[in-house]
Amino acid sequence: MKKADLILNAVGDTDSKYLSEVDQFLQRQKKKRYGAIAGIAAMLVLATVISFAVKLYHPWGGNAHYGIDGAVGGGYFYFEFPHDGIYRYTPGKASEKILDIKGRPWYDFVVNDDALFYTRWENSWDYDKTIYRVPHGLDTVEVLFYDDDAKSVNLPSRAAGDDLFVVLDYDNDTQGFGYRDVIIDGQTGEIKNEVSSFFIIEDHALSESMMYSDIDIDEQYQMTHKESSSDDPRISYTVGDRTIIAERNDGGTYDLLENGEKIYESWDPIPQKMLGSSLVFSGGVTDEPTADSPDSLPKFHYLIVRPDGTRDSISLENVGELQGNDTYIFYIDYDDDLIVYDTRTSESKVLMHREELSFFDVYSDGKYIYLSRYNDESSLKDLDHPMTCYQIQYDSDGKPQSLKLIDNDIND
Amino acid sequence: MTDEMIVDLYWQRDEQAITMTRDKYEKYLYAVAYRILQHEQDSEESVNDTYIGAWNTMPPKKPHILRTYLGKLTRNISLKRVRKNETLKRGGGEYPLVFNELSQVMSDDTSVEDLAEQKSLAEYLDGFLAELEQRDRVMFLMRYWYLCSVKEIASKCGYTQSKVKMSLKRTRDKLRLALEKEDWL
Repeated sequence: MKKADLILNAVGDTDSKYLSEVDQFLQRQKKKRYGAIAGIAAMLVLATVISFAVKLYHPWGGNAHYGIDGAVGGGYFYFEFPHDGIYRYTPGKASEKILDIKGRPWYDFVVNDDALFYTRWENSWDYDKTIYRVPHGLDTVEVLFYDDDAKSVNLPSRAAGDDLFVVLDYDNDTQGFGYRDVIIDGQTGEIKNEVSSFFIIEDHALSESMMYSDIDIDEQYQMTHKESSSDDPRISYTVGDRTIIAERNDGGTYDLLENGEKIYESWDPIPQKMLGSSLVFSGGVTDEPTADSPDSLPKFHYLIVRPDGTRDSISLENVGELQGNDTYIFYIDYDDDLIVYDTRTSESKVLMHREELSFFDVYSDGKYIYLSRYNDESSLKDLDHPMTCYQIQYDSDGKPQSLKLIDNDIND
Repeated sequence: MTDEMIVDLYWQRDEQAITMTRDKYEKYLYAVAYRILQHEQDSEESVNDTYIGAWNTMPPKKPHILRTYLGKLTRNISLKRVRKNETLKRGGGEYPLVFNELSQVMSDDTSVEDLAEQKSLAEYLDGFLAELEQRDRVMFLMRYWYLCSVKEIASKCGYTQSKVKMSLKRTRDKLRLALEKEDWL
């Protein structure tokens, strides 16, 4: 038996409590993402209708009912069409393929107002050391960042405004084994901040000399491996003319400072995302379900920092990511309705009820909204989800009122 | 019918046990098998073999959580099936990828025949899993127990694919270090 099979078999014998934990975890995540019974029932119905090849059971739902990975930026909507490529969509026009997926290469991409950034590798265990940059509207590909010492360069999730949050993995004789979380300039690729790092370095010479030692294994390991870690205590961001500093405090969270004054306590030194020209920081979660209150719905707290000098602290019961601009946030709530929230007045309004159009992902730049919706049940050809483009209609006071259909299926 | 009642039927050698098991767990077991085999007929056969396996092992086994007990049977049966050459040629699903990922944790300089070693490693892994953050533990098991694809894990957990890949990679790296430290490598 190969050793990889040994591990695979050994994992199979894991304690049942961990498998039960997986089910419970997914139940909670599903409740967060899709609301309660209505969302789960819809997934089960969809799974049974399209189930000749896939017969899967709640809480796992369907194994291939994925939403489209997408991001808005520079007036475009970028999305991955499975087994095909990365596309760029301009409202009202046909989508164009900008990156081809042949032979199953993998891409990760993030988008800001300037460009699309991506990494690419050939398979799930191979990693690239390069971040590529594609300015909006152009077909040119530039190398933004390359680290020859790194084992891999990763784009975890989001742009931090004009900059990128990047994770560098290492496994070599110089630095040892570990990682660095850094922020790089989205224009030049220069490393601006090192957020944190962790390394283990093995002293090979000492390891060899200790091989036949009587010293305890743990002690041997401690003596022959050095660990080092660091967290940058101060990271700065620019929002218009404002400078916001995220400074780590004794409690393990981060104080956001402006002009020396604490304006917020953030759970993450990296901004949650950028909405318009504003940065949004995460203030954590409250009202999570407990044994005493299992039906409690979590509330997520945020701070919006705008270039015009204003800021607002808000709390939302949102499922998934926030989308929008400096003033209006669009998100799906626990009832699966599409909500627009005015960050200046705290007013919210249902823009679209779930019954009107079954969707589960929303992307928006405040001008257009893209809704990833359930597939047409009459089609068994494909389990991916169409993405519909709407233009947001604003009234004379500048408030979002309704949605105008632009394209029923941007993939088509 | 509760799991306890179904297990009692097995112990009483009442064939209703299999009917009840099928009614309650067929879809779940099919899901476990299909993820590994990616083939409808093979998956159905694995599930049927699971019922036979359950009949042959209860008694003496008396699992508290029947679902996971049966799931483990199905998983083992399906993995044995996928390792046969004919099944690999049918596409293999995530198995080849998962195998390659785990090969980086333990290289194949020597082959292993000892089932006792597997049992010992399983016990060690439980301790390793207990030390992980819940989120990382869940993603690790979704990938290496259920053989879910990275994209499926990301979709079901509400994370980006990068976050999932990083978590899996870091957990594999931690596991490699831990196994190295304990002389498993």
